[in-house]
Amino acid sequence: MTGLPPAPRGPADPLEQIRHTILADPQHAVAYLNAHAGTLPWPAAVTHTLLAEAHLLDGNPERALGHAVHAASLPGTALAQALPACAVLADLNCWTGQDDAAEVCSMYRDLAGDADDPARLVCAQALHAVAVFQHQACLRGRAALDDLVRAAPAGSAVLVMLRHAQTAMADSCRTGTDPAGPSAWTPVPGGYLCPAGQPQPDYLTSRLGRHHATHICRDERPGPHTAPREVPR
Amino acid sequence: MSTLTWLHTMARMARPAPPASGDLARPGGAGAAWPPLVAGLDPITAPDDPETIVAATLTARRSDTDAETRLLWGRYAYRAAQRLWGGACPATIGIGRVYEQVLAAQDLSFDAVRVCEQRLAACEPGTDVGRALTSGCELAVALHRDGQCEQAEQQSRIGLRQWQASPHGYYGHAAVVLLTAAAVRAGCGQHRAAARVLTDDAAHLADLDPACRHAAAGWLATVTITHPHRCGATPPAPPASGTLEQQQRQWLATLETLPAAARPGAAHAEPRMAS
Repeated sequence: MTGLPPAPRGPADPLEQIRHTILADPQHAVAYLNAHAGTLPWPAAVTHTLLAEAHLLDGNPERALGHAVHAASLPGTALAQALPACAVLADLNCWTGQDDAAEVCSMYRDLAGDADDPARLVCAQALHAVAVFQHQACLRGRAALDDLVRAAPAGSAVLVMLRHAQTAMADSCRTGTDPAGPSAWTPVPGGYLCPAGQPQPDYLTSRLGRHHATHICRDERPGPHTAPREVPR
Repeated sequence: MSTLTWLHTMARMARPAPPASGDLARPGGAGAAWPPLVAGLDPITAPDDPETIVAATLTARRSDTDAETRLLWGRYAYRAAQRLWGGACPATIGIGRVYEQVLAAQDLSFDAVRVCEQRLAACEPGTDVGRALTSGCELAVALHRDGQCEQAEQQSRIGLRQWQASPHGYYGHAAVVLLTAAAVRAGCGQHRAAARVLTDDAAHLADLDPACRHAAAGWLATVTITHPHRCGATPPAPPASGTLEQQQRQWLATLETLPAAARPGAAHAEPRMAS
């Protein structure tokens, strides 16, 4: 097993090196992490979270899910390592369309709230809204996302991401179809590959576009909750 | 767990059907292309390895897998997760729910009761009283599905008493407790008693939104329709009348006309103590 290539900038921080390697060559990163699992200078939860992100980028969501579950379930894991693990686990549940995705996202949301981590909290709430839109009720997901848009700081990367998803959800309800979104993978904000406060604009829509929506907006029953609503701008 | 998520879980158990899973992903999506990580492994001898546990869980969930394979891998995943992460770990609880769903789909309701008992036992030593309360309600539902109706009603009463005895701790679980008690009674033909459970503490159901009310009505209707054929209640309950849709409309009407449901701040009322 060869070592890791140096990170493109900065000191030879092992975590920075492995981040760079995952993004550049996830297969090599997986091989390296597996070969050096016992000697890496961080807790096991970090290794398994990194393996989850590398496997997902490499197109192995099933393996990724195994490592993410393990990372989030290891007893005695410190909050600093549990938060990225839960971020990746919640994301993988959405990415792979698990029917309890909303429940896993709500656990991540609760953990981020307990940790007083506002950047991760808003990502967790947004991911939860996506899971609810897909698995439970479109209008509930949209209402939750609308609340987040109203609270997000103007001009922030988070607001851009939220607005993209808001538009995709509204279009999906208006046409009664599944939401459109890029199929390409984007890293989960709050994991090890992307800071929670700097999500990519199409992160949420990439998750939104992978699975069917649960449309209740076209329910024929009368009432204020059954009609599609206009998305506030 | 949110009330809506819980209701969806209960509805899936009550009306076993091919469960949703990764294979519902769009064509070409992750679910369709996953490698069979459990291929070549034996669920009896497979190691307690996280990748294998998750792969086994996904195999157990997949509707395109034969019943025996789902059962074997579901059992492996649940037991391996218990050994690797402990019974109280959220991952183990989630995998236990998948296994319970596989058992329910194959009419192995007695084994499903055992899973619920283990979940409750794992919760009790901890401090998460909400999870323990929810697990107790799930045990009541599983006992009821198995035809152990007296024990189910007893368990649902325990849940009601625990909830009523701690007015400041369980507000978030009112719907789970009350709907469980209603479902147990409704399934055994005690429709008035079931409706009374809901109306007596209607203030605590004020937070149910339309999606929750629809899910609750669907679950209550399914239990009402599917339970009586093996009911252990004495005297035997008469079979429920009407179609599933009719039953669902009736339960929805009950939930939508709960007397205090529309009262602002009603959900903060004190629970009514059992008489």
